[in-house]
Amino acid sequence: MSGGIGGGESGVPETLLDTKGQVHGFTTTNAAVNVGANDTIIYADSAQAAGIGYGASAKSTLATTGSLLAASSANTLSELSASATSGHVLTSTGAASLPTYQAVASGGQIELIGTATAGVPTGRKSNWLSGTLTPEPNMETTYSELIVIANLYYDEATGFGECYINLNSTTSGYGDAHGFYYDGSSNTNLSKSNGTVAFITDANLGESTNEGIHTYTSIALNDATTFMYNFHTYSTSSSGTSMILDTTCDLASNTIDHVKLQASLASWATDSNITIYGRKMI
Amino acid sequence: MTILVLTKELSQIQEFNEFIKTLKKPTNLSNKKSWYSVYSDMNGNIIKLITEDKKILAYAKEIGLK
Repeated sequence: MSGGIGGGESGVPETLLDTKGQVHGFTTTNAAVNVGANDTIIYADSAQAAGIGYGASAKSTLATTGSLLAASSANTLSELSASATSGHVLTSTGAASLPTYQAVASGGQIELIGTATAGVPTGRKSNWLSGTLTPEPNMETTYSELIVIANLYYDEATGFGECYINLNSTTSGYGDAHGFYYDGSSNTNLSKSNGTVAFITDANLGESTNEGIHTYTSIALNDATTFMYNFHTYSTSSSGTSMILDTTCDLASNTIDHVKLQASLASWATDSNITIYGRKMI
Repeated sequence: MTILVLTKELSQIQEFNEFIKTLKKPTNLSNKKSWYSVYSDMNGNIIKLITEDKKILAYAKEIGLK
């Protein structure tokens, strides 16, 4: 049989498609449409004589591991490359532009600054975290709050006594501590005076052998001109007594490089621990 | 016109705090112990006072603490 598809003289000539990859199209007559570049695909395209043409596909656009497919303009595929820095997140740069990878905003995040666990501190009035804190918290520019969490246990018959915090080895400028405690039956107002440390508990919080206390102390720079800090401590003991104490201190510095936690009577027992966090300024 | 003003007696803890203001805080406290610790009930009545300061001790006896 002679002729192309359909046969006869009115059919498509066999010589219409003579190149690898060509497909059969139609303009006003039968026509060959040449194959596009590798990994491109056929789109309907009224601007083309045959009404179809090859264009970029997802496969042809994404040439690099980790890239994402994005639109750089209307109906235009674009390769959004992965960030060169691990941990960066995709962030919008506005409604009409490609997003970009950027570092996570750190404002408001809580960052671990230092920790110590039992076994290290021994003996009465042990000093914890008396070395330089890293990073050294700057309470005026970097951290809005320093959080000291302590879980303390003691096993001496002498009782726990008072507990206090000393910052930067400063032994002056501390204000009186005011607050109250609740022992399960009544509230009692409490005022403690001292100029050398900041009280975070009173002796009434823990007076029994094998008792444990948990304290949460928030420290914030109240006045950057005078370097006045506010201390606010919540504490509770395993005997059921709870306590709140507020104190102030003029540290003469906007940075804190030392935190010492001390008890006036007992030694810290095994498993006692202290952790210091900084809340990043927004 | 007569103006009446409510006058309220200070509670024991308020009086104590006024008294403390007349004293000079020690600058070098031994063993970092409290200069004083004072406890009151929610009505402001002092129920416990711990101190080694002689002036505060004398005040405590004046208000009936034993």
